[in-house]
Amino acid sequence: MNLLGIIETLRRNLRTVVLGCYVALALVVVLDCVRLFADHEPEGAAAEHATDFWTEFYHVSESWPAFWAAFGLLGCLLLVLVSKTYGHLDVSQREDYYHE
Amino acid sequence: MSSFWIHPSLILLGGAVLLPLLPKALKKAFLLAVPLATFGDVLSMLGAPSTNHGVVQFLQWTLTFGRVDSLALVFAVIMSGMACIGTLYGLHVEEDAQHSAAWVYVSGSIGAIFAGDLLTLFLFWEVMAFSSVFLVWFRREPESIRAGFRYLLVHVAGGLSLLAGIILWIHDRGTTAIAFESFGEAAYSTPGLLILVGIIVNAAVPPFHAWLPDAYPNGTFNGSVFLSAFTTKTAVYALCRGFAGMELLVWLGVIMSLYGVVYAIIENDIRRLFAYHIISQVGYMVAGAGIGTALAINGACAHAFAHILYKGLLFMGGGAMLHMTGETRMSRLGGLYKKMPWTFLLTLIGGLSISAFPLFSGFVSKSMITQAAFTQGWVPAGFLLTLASIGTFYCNGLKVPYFVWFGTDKCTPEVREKAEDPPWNMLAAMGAAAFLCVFLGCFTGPLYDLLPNQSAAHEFHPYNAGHISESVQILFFTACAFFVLVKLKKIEPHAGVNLDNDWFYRKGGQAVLWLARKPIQTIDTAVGEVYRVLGVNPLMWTTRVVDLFDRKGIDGVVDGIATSVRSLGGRVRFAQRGSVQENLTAAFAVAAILVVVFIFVF
Repeated sequence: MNLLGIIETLRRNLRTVVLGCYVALALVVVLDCVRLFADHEPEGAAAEHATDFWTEFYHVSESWPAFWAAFGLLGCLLLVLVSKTYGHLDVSQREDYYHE
Repeated sequence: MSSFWIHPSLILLGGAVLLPLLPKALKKAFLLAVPLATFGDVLSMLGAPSTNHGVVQFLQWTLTFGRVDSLALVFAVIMSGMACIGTLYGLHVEEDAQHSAAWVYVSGSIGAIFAGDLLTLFLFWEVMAFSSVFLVWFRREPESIRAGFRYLLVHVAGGLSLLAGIILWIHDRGTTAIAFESFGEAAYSTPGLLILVGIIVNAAVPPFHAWLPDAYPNGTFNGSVFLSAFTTKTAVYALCRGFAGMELLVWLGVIMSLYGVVYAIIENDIRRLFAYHIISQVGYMVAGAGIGTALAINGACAHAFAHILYKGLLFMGGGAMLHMTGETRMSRLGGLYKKMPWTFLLTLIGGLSISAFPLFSGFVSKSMITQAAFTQGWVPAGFLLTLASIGTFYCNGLKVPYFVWFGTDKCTPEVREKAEDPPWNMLAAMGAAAFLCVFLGCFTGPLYDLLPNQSAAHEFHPYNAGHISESVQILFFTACAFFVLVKLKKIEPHAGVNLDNDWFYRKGGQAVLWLARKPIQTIDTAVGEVYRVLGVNPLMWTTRVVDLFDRKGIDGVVDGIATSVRSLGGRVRFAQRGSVQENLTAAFAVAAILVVVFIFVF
């Protein structure tokens, strides 16, 4: 198998690959909506057992379409933002920090 | 099943001793045979779990070297299996001591896993610490030597805590209570907490974690593959065995999982990045042990199993980069897919597995822990663990592959020249690990059959529409966010180190050195001066006085006595005339007079 050939082909058709990715993103959201609407008895039974706020929130969030997509997108941006900010609090130093 | 039982650690230890004695022609075969025999030995135990072997009476202790049950076996199987893959990966390394150290290290881990009592556990715990440090030292860089000492320092401290806990435990409960079982309520007692600290030092739980990202990236290219697999997972086993259901562990696990991710996101060195993700992933297992339900413990074990393979694979990828190019910093790499395409593909498989992509091993193991959190009363922990999994994919599945093999080519000409796929044995080991990552992801049976709580394992089905949809949404949209950030040029890797809490003892050590150099030396000089002024000078003066006294006083007296004796001698000299006969006669005469006087008087 010519692995390098496959990678090169994908890179030459980068526009198509990127387009494919957009389609995949859209498809994931659409399929999640379809799944939720097809699912007839979603949170009803489970939510009744909910005793505290978080459990209830979890069961309700399961019925929101594309909840996890938003969680992934925002979560990633949040993590990077928090990490970078943390790094700037003098946590990131020059490479020779310990050997000066 | 026969009663004949060989401790798998014994095979590895024997192999480690014999290896340097063998002729060169046999070495390669022996290197493969020993871990395979160990693996076979462990597999042979699957037929008859829940038996005790190797029970030894030592003084007043009953030591159990082979407590074989399903919890121990799931760890032993993967550890002995990883020993095969790791040895294959370093097969071309000529130095026997490196292989021997790795085998002794694995034997320590497997010995701790099978230990049925606390003393045996401690024994193998220390074997692990003292053999693994050589995998760091054998890199022979000055920084590795230093990191090795720091690693040893932390592990000796952790081991002491464990030992202190064990001693107090036995002191409280008598010598018959040394069996290593669940501590239950006693987990929060002083001995329980000391033992817990000993264990979570090895699990790299903050604030006892900094040894891991300090030492592992400084190990040899193949030594770090071993390091990534054994120490932390042995600790996870010990937590599952002794501290299952301890609520404190859930939050420690959640903190770990996020802490590791935050540091990994700002890390530049890929091996250090992978090391931070060990902390993050072990966080899931620690949380699983803390939740403590049948599903959560299964999850901790399954995730440890999957983790050893995919983390080994990632470290093999990083090791290949180090071995071939000598460079592991993303700020000095990039665009290497043309030179190292197979390394790219295999490392990517590791990255997708750790990210819990459907059809890869992490998907079928990590989800047990998150589901246990969501459905068994730990919903906020479940959300936070899911948040950490975003960072996992961001780093391992996206950032490393992108900035090492694609992105801007920032290689030095030297690195670019040297970059190519590694030797066959390294690729074969990576291929084996990658195959198992995909295999476990696609076929859950073999892994789930090994788990300790069988009924919970059979009730759990990771491949349902809801779970797949949830995972794919998270992963795809994380990727979307990543490429947006790449486009905005927000996340270019930068050269630098990130300070972690090893700062305290590294800078603390430097402070001690500075103290030794500056104030203590100044004080030493000052004390020397004071000593000279107040001590030596009066001493010299006293000496002179004594000398004078000696010469004028003592000598005068002595000379005086001598003079007197001489003048007395001169006078006595006139009383005798020197003839022997006269003298003898006089002497006898005096004697005769004395005898006569004596007779007559008495």
